[in-house]
Amino acid sequence: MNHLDPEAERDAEPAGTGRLREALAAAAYDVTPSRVPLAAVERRGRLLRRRRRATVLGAGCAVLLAPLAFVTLHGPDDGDRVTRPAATVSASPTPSTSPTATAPTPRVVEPGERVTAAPGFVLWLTEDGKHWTTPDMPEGQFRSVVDGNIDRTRPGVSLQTDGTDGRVLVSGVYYGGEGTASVVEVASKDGPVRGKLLELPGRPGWGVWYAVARSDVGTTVTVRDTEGRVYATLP
Amino acid sequence: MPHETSAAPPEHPDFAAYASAAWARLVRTALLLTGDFHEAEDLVQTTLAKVYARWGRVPPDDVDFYVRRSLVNNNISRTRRRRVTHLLMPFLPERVHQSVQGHAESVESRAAITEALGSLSTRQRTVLVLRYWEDLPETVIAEVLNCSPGTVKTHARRGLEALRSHPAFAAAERPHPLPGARP
Repeated sequence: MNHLDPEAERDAEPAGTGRLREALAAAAYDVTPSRVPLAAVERRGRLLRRRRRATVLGAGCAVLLAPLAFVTLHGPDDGDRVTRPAATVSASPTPSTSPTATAPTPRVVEPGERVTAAPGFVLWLTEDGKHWTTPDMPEGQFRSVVDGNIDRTRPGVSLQTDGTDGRVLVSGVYYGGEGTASVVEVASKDGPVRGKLLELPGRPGWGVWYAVARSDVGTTVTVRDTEGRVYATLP
Repeated sequence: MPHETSAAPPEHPDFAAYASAAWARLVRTALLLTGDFHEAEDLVQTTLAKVYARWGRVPPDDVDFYVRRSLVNNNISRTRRRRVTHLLMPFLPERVHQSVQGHAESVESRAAITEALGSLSTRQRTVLVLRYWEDLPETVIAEVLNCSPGTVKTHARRGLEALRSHPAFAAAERPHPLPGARP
């Protein structure tokens, strides 16, 4: 079950990895797992499912009521202001704003400040990296920017995708580019989806982007700076 | 894989069959990822509960990949939480399940590889476990970790270098452990 087709890659393996395989196998088989606690697993699973459905129901109500509340509060001609947290981000084929003069900049958040991108999809930054929850992973996930796994001296942007009930929650870390990151777009089946950017105070050289799509997204992410130049891309 | 092609409801009995069949292997993988047997069982239990909650949406022909990726992601989250716990509580309680009499060599060997793996970053450790225990190709590991194959290669190379230079792992590689190497 867990052995797919490693033979081709084994030929190119560094010397000594055979001993590592043996050591890992010895350590793994040195324990005897207990019987699967199936009842406990299913009980926790049912709880998670109920919680998710409740979240989806709440999200549906919010979607229905949000346009009404928005029109009531702001009127129809208030435009799209990017400095406030938005619930969702829609597809935007071409940015029509001129660079620099009206170029948005990342929203600056305090460490630990929660930003709700969509119901259940919450992000926050600490000096260590990016944290987020999704309806399916309410315990939270984390991507470090300090564990040495990314080279922040060179431009880069990552992509994490979480799908849930007809929405695709995408987010990632960007870092290492020149200038000030301004906009991010991720390719999707329905066209490019514009996301939003978050950074900690003090221009730390990295930030977090996020977007909510309504269809499958690809693996192409482009972050542009305030001049319209490419800040970082994936791949 | 004992799964139907249509979307199954969460109560589908195949989940029980899958969980029962996969439990031992998942616990062993989780043990290598966490270094602790009890944490490993907790991790697998959490993972399977989340899988159960979405069982009807899990691609029937891709269950192993889905479960494995969930396991890895849950472990990364767990690592983060534990790091915070360590900061708050630097003096952790002693583990009580490792003082088994006998099997001294195997216990020492397991402790050596566990200690050496513990010196790696979470992602380096994950790559080595998936590559050299789960026997996954680098392309699949890249999909599990949602990164490029080049990043996987880098993690593997740096992880192997770190392991080779780790005293505990190097000592365990010798035919006869050095006297007094471990109290």
